[in-house]
Amino acid sequence: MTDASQHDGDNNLAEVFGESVRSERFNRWLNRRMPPANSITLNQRKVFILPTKQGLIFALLVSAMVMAGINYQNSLVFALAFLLASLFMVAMLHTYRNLSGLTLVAGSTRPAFADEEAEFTIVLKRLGDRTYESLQLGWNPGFMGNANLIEDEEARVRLFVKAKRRGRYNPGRFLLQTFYPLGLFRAWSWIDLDMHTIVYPRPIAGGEIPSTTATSHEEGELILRDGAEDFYGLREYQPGDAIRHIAWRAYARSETLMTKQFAAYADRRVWLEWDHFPGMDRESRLSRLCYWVLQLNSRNDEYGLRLPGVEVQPGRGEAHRDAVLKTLALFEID
Amino acid sequence: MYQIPRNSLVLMLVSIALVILPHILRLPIWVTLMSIGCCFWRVMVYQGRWSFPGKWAKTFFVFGSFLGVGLGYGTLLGLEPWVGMLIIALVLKLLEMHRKQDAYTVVVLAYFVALTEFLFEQSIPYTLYMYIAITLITSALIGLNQAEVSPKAAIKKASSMLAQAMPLMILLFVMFPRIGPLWTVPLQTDVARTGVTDSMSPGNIAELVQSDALAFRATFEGEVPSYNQLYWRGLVLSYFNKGNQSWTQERPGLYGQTLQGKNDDAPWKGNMEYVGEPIRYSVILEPTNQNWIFSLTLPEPTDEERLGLVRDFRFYSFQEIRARFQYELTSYLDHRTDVALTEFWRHRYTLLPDGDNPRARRFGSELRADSLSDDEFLSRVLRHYMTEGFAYTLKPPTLEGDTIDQFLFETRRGFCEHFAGSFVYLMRSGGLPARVVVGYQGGEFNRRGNYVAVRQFDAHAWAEVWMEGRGWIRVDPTSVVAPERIQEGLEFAVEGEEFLADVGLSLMKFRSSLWITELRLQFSALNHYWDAWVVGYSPTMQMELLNRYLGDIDRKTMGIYLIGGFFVIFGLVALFLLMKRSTRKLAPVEREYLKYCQYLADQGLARAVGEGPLDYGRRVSEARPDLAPGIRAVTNAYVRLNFAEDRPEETDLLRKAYRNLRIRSFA
Repeated sequence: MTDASQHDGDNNLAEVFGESVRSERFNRWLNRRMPPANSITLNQRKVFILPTKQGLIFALLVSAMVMAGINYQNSLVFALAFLLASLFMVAMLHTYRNLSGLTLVAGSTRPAFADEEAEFTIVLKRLGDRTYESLQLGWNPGFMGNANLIEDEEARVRLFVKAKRRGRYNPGRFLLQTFYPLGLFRAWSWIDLDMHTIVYPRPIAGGEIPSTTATSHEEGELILRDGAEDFYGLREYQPGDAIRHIAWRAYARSETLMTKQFAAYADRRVWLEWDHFPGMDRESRLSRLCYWVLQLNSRNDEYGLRLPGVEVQPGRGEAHRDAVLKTLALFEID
Repeated sequence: MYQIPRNSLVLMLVSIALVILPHILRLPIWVTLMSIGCCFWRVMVYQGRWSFPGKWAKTFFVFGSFLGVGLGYGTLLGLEPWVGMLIIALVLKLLEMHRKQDAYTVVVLAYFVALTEFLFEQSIPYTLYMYIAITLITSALIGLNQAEVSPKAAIKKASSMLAQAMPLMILLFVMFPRIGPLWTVPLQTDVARTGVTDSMSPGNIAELVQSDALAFRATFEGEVPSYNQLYWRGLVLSYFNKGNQSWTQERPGLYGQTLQGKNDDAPWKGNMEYVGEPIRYSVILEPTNQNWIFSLTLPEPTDEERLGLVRDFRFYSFQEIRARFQYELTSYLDHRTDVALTEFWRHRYTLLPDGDNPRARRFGSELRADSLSDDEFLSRVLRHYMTEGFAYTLKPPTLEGDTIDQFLFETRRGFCEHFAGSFVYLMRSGGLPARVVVGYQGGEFNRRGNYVAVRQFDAHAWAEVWMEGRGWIRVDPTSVVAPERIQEGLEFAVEGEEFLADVGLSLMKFRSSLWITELRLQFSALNHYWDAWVVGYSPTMQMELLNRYLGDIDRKTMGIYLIGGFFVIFGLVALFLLMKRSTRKLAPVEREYLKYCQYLADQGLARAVGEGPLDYGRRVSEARPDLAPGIRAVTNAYVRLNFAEDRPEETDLLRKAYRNLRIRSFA
């Protein structure tokens, strides 16, 4: 499995060379030509090819060589010029061949919080004995994933895309390109494997939830809470943790982000309610709810969620957390 | 910063070494050292031990080395300085590979240095060597675009790509319209003048024949004339210089107009009468850096632009022959020239300086007075050479003062120039117009290539005498002293003396060994075809070849043929490359099952990665209930054949199930 490097800029990939490069009309044309599908096999309808800048320089070199052949009336200079001209043409075929026949299949996806990176796995497969080398793919031209299909029958490439808004996220067409073998041509295709993932709200620390109010040490269960006074311990950093609680000294030692936890004591069953955050707009409430889901989950509490018109019964564990987060993500979206 | 892949760097350095190597002898030594230094520096940079040179260091290198080239060659304009600067640019660019773009520049420069090689050398071994170099440069280019794979893989890929480029290259080579040079370009400067010169004094041809270098090759359209007919006229020397006792050409101004082109006219054109059968032949002349063109007498004027026919019936090239030059001529061995000689020319051709060689002069005039006719005079002079103890030798004694007197009456040992020079002197003393002709005589017939190879040791000098009513006739005094020279060649005439004494190891010394000769002739024939058809492929040859095979075509039709052929060949190569080749043999069961998967995939139900056949079948059945029974049948057959029972030969079961499924889905 190959990892595409994560990018940290905030330019959304689709915007960088999606919308800006591809006009709306071109997109419609692309959609007609190669409609989104979970599995796409590349053929001449789907692969574009043009010489690169290096290719044009190479063509210039060949013309200069032909000029030298003419002026020196030297047959072997002509022969070399023509050999390189033919090589140029053959390189075009090889570059095209390095994409055509390749099959791309939608792999798994991993949800993300808004403003963070969602992960998409693309599976590349080859049929027959043709090999594929130096394939580049991704949504972001600066951070492309690489793949080779030389000995293996298939390769998986994990790509990361920054998700901006909560909801169901379709990253759109990604770019698949190759310069192999000579770098004189670029063959590429815009591929939509119809992949989706869920984008959770951006967790924002804050607000109070009634049932977390501290009680006496004897009665309640120990809970970890942001506003509390007593330092309780360290745990691994989670998205949404307040930056001021990051244990920088521990980070310097171990290079893992740790969050300082502060303790209080609380009842075990918690209902996360829409009304806990009065006076806020919808997205702010969802963000805070999201934060609390993560908090409660991390200390293994039992919690439920009540939104206008939606209710998730209390529960605990990863699956429960994902269900609650998905409810938050899709609330009033469709 | 861009780090060039290791494979690519290795291939790049090796190919740069390969393209520079043949130039080393032509380059100042410091350029070679600098190239080695730059390659070493680049390796150090790669290993992280050294850093790239700074901006000022680079500027210094660039200006310093260009200045060095200028001072070393004395000029910056010229082929050698250009090649030097190109190589310096190439190796300096190695130290400036900051971006991938720079690596491409290095590759492009390397290709260009490879090209310059052909401006100096065009032989078969060099071409093969350069092909290897080109393959390595190409593999360096592949290395730039390849995931970390061994250099071997890159070289293999480059070789196969170049092989695939061959058919198109051959088409372009043959068909691409060849035109004349657009502007003049500097040529190689350090070519030594070789072959016969325009001044003949005793001894200088004897020196020339110490070399076995090729002078030219001539291919005859019909049968090759007999050995003793092969007198290749190059220069006519008709002026005797008293000071250095040498024969030289007439002053050019005296010749009047030269004939350029078949239809050109000159007052003396009528002085050439062609009798008998024409002989057509084509000559590939090795570079001599001189203007002489060799032909059999009597040639017709030619349309070849660079050649002109001079008043004494030999060709002259208006440019020095700097590169191998091919020309075609028609000659008539039976001919008559200058049947009537004007008083002016009669005077020029009997002119002798005042007061030198008194004995020869007296001997000539007395002999003429004694003879009844010019014919008798001529044969008495020849008889003199035959009977008075003259010897033909490669090592004639040195002559001083009145060299003709000395030779005729004292040493009597000489080479062809002694005989021809003294003979013409005697003729003129007797009042007969005569002149010296310098060129080559004979040549080695190569049966395999059907051509005659003429080498420097075939250089020869003879005489032409003008006879009343008959015009110029050829007289070779050497032939009366050493008839073997004219009948068979030099080494038979000088038996007992060491042939090619000054040449180290030469295959030509073994002309008596049959199998060495056979091998040598085979290789020469190969070289000849290479030079005639590949190196010598000229615009005229192109038109002739294309006219022969494609009929009488003009440039436009040729262009259409070229473009059409280009697409046909390109299409064939594309077909070859892109054809689906299922060399990977699948078991028949697998093949059938994959067909089924592909069929469903076409309908938007592709099998997921790692999905088992049973799971897949279930999922597809849910999506397409109409096909469910067929899908079940295929899945069951496949699973049973593959996993449960060991009966792979019964694939018919599966095939039938799949066919039924397709029929159902159509219904």
